[in-house]
Amino acid sequence: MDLRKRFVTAGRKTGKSALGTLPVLLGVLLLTGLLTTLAADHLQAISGTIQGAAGPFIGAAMGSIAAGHPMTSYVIGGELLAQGISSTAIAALIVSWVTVGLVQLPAEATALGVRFALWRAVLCFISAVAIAYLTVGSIEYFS
Amino acid sequence: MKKARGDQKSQAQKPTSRFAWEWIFFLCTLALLGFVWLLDRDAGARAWSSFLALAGQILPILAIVYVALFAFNLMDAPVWLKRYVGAESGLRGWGVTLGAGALSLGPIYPWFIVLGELKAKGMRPALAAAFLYSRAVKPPLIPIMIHYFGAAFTLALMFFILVFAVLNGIVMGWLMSRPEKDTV
Repeated sequence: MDLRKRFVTAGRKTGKSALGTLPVLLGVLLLTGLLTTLAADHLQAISGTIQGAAGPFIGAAMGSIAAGHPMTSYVIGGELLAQGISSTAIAALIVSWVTVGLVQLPAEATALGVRFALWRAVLCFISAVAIAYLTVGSIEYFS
Repeated sequence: MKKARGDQKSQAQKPTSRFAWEWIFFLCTLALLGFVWLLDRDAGARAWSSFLALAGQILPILAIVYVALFAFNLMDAPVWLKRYVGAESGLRGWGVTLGAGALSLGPIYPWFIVLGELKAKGMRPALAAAFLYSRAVKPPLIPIMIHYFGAAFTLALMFFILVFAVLNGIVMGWLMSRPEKDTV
């Protein structure tokens, strides 16, 4: 293939990719902006729901919905720990925060396929709860 | 004949409607923001500022990603791709993926695009999933995590995240290799 044709084909492919992903990414960023604003307003109310045996599952669910820099999850986790929330629930929140990302799902589905994105979200949610129990369980076992 | 004509028609319509749902999704999120703004102007304005700040961070990175993709599209399934993340990459593929995932910086969105292109050119879905999972290990943030939760908690969490990155990758590889009708 001559160089000019190669450039045109590569440009077309990249343009198609940009046209498909840009609107979804912008939409996801809008959702992230909305979610971080609304979640910050209701953090106190949210922390009350993360108690008890269901804590790790609720923590993982919160982390799955949440969006933003991972450091934010550490700060929120630290705040919740100070309020007496279990380490297991906090571990589930931190792990699902960086691995699940329901808000990012449309962007992931656009780039990697709907089936891939959905299965990954389900597996990551289950894994977040499992990792939380394993982490806290192993610390208790070795201490 | 009628069916064939219908197929031709739907194929002819395909290019124009190709990105329709992507733009509809964007317009829906914009409408949602407008709705929040109508209910609570302060929250709406803060959400809009947050969006602008995020877009300011991510769009320059995206520009670099698209330039890199353009260069990548000039090549035909490069040899290094097959060697490091392709079907025959083996244990080396897992090592490269976990290391790259843990060391990868910046927001996840540009990585989706990069992984989508790599997957289309032959990257194993198992490795794409493992890469995304291992991004949860953030070496630069480990000191902050130790400050909040202690060294034992942080190290145990990082260890299990890497173990589950591999497990998730294996399961995703198996799920993606199954026929579509049997899965989600």
